[in-house]
Formats: sequence, structure tokens, C-alpha cells
Amino acid sequence: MSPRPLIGGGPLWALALAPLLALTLLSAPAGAQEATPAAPAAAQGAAAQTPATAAAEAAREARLEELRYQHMWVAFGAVWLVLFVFVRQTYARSAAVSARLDELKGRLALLEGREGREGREGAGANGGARREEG
Amino acid sequence: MSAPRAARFGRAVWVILRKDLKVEARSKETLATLALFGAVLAFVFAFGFVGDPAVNLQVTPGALWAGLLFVGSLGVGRTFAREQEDDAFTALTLSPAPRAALLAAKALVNFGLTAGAMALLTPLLALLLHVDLTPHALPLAALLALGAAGFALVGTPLAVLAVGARLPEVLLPMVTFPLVTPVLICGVRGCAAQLGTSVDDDVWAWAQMLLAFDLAAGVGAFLLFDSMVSE
Amino acid sequence: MAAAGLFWAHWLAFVYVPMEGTMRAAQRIFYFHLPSAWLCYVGFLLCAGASLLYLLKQQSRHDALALAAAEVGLAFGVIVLTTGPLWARAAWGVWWRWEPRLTTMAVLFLIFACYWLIRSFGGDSAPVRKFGAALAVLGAPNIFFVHVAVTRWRGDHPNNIQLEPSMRVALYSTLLVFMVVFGLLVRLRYRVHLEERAAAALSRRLSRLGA
Repeated sequence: MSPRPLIGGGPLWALALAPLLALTLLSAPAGAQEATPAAPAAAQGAAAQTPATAAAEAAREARLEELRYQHMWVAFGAVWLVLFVFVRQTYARSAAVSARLDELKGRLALLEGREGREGREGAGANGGARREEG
Repeated sequence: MSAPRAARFGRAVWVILRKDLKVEARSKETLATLALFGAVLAFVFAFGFVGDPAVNLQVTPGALWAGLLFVGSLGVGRTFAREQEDDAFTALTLSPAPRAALLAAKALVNFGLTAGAMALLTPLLALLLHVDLTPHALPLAALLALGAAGFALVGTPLAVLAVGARLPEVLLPMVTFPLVTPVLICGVRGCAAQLGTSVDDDVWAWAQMLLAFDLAAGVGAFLLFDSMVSE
Repeated sequence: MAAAGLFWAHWLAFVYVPMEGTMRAAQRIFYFHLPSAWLCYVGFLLCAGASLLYLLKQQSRHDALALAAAEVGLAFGVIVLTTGPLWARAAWGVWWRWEPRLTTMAVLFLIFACYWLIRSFGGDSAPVRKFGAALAVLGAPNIFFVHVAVTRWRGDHPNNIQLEPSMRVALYSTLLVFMVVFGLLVRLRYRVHLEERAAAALSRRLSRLGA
């Protein structure tokens, strides 16, 4: 196959992600609002209990909170790990097969006794891919 | 299907079926093995799960259907081994008989073997677990038969294909079990409904679902078998 | 360039996410979990479709697409099955629940894990490809039955998740990003498979010519 880069379309990326960036900027203020509803609720709950149970509740909440963060980090880590491993393995295989293809084409060219026969190499690779050989 | 074609198909199935059954009857090897395996499984499950009478009754559907899966995969594995011996896969691609006939015959044999083994396993299990299944005999038998048919319809094509792909036999159960999950679920829940151990007591609904699965599996297997086998 | 695109996509997804819900931090997992689940289904559906095409038309590239789709689907499936319990523990208090969605996801994952295993270790001959294709084509509709059966067994648990607008934005944008990543990965993998087949064919040709 031709030696062009595996992923192309650089400008297309910017075009696709620009609206997303715009949305981020527009939604940022909403993030601040999210945090506040939680605080009044917690305050109400605390007012209805004695100080001792409130302290125990707070400690339990803190532990739970920590656990939730742990869950979140593990989950994100898992996502990134999986994707990273997958992408790396794909690239490794791609590099290996490109190297092998180049080597084979070199040998073919040598065999044919001719240099740079674009047509022959293209037909050979395409014909091989199309033929279904068990 | 037109009448002559149907007749030809039926005849082809009968020929292959007769051949397989003749080989089977001569040695009686596989039926005996499967029946004995069924008995062994009954003991294994009894050892594993026996408890109070209520527990025993609750455990029975699961044990029965797990047993069916194991017995079924042993039977399908026999198809696999037999195909390998005869190199039947190559014969398949050359044979003038419709390939679907071969599939039908093999599936029928597998179904028979599984059903036969379950006929031994079920009463034995009931005996060991002190569970009285006689009032439920017919519905249970029907459910088990449908399940065995479903397993045969899914497992047999896979076995035949696996021979052609030269895959190791141990892969067959691994591949077949996820595909027969509906059979397992419907069967266990149906039996539980029949035995009265679950809040749902509509056995007929579960049986209908099993039947639907069997039909779908059969249709799928027969429709695609030609293209799966062709070179 | 590709690496930059991927990293940008991930960073963007993470920047969106810091809009906390009632479950606080663990809720954020959901933004990755749901798109991954949808894309996992898409991947397996694509694999089944490509396998069907392969069985009907016997063209190598359909099989290559099926394999690529299965691999990417499995990768997303791993994500779903790891983030899922982590989210579930925080949301419901249990790691797993016998629900139609979870069960069908698990069974589907198992079926295609078997597919991938056999394709990876069974070699690349035509019968192996056909076996894999049969597995994929029979497995995907099977899931319908599993879903119906489990729904009847366990009942449908509707997750009444109220999505605030900002959360909805986060969810959909993460979905978009993941869709892009998915398409990218499938295309990459597909190309690699096609090139590997071309290399194999070329190597066979060379050995025939006596190189």
C-alpha cells in the first residue's frame, strides 16, 4: 500500500472539534451551579441531627466520597489503559506489516530485475488481496 | 419447497441418518458413554448441591440444565471426532447430496443422544436429591426436549465447521455455551416455574420462547450452512 | 497527527466531565461508560454484518472489516465491563445486577471474545474465517433472544436518570468523541489487516516465483 500516513485529514480534525470547544466554553458557568445544590441539602440534613451523629455522618460521607473518587480514577485509568494499549498494538502491527511489505516488494523488484515498476507492484498487491486463498 | 425436492431432501437425510445410526448401533459406544456421563453428572450435582428439601427443589432446574449442556457438548464433540475420522468435511464439499441434509441428520443424532442421556440423568438426580418429579414429568420432558433440540441445532453446525477449520475440539464447548444462553435461561426458568420455586408460574411462555429459539436457530443454520461450508 | 487528535479528544472529554451530579465523582464514570456501551454494540453489529457479507460474497476485505470491528468492539467491551461495575458500586451498592442490559452485554462480550480468540489462534485459513463468520452471524441475533428471556426473568429496570442540560451536553459530546475514536480505530485496524493479507499474498507469490 502507498506510504502515506495512516491518518490524514488534519484540517478536518480542527473543524470537527471547534464546535465542541465552543460548547465547552458556553457550558462552563453551568459547572459552578451544579456544586451549589448539594451544599444546602447537606446543611439541612445536618441541622436535623445532634452534633455527635452529625460528626459520624460527616466522617462516613468523607470516606464514601474518597471511595467514589477512587472508583472514578480507576475507571478513567482503565479506559485510557485499554485505548492506549489498543492503539499501541495497532501501530506496532502496522509498522511491522509496512516493513514486511517493503521488504517483499524489494525482493519482488529484484526478482523482476527491474527497478520501480509501480504498475506491477500495485497489481500484485491488489490481486493478492482480492484472491481468496485458503 | 416443491414435493420432489422435499422428497429428495428427506431421502438424503434418511440415508445419512441410517448410516450414522448403524455405526452407532454396532458399537453402542457413544450412547453408553453419554448415559454413563449423565449418571456421573447426577452424582456430581447431588454432592455439590444437596441440602434441605426446599433447597433441593430450587437447585434441581439449574442442575438439570447444566447437565444438559455438558451432555450436549459431549455429544456434539462426538460429531466432531467422527467427522474428523471420516474426513467428512471434504466429502461434504464434494457430495451431491444437499449439505443441509447432512446437517439435519447429524443434528438429529445429537438430539437423540442428548435426550437419551437426559432421560437417565433426570430420574437419577431426582432420586439423589429426594425430589419428586413425577407430577411434573411431561412438562419437564417437553422443556428438556426443546432444549436438547436447540443445543443440537446450534452445536452441530459449529462442530462441522470446526472440523473444517481444524480447530481443537476443546474450543467447541467454549464457543457453544454463550450461544445457547437463551436455551439455558428459558429452560431453567421454565423448569423453576413448573416446579413452583419461582413467583412466575407460566411455563408455557418459557416453552414458547424455547420453541422460537429452536426455530430461529434451525432456520439460521440451514440458511447459512451452504455458504459456510462452500470453498 | 493521529496521536495529537486522540489526545485532544480525550482531554476534551475530561474537561467536559467536571460537572458533578448527585453521585458526585463516580457519576463522571457514566459519561465514558454509556458511549462505550453503545459503541461496543455498534462494533459487534458491524462485525456481524461484515461477516454476513463475507459469507454471501466471499470477499476477503469483508472478513478483514469483521475482524477489525470485533477487535475494536472488544476493546470497548472491556471498557464497559470495567467501568460498569465501578459505576454500579457507587450508584447501586453492588458490583453486578442480573439485568437485561448487563446480561446481554456480558453474553455478547463472551461470544465475540470467543470469536477473537479463534481468529487469533486458529490461523488465517478460509475455513477458520468461515467459522468465525458463522459465529458472529449466529451470535448477534442470538442476543435478541437473551434480552427477551432475561427481561421476562428479571423485569426491566428502567434507570430513571434525570439529565440536566449540562450533563446532557457532556454525555453527547463524549459520545461524539468516542464515535470518532471508534471510527478511527476500526479504520486503522482494517487497514492493518488488509495490508497483512496483501503481504501474505505477496510472500506466497514470491515463493512461487522462487525468490
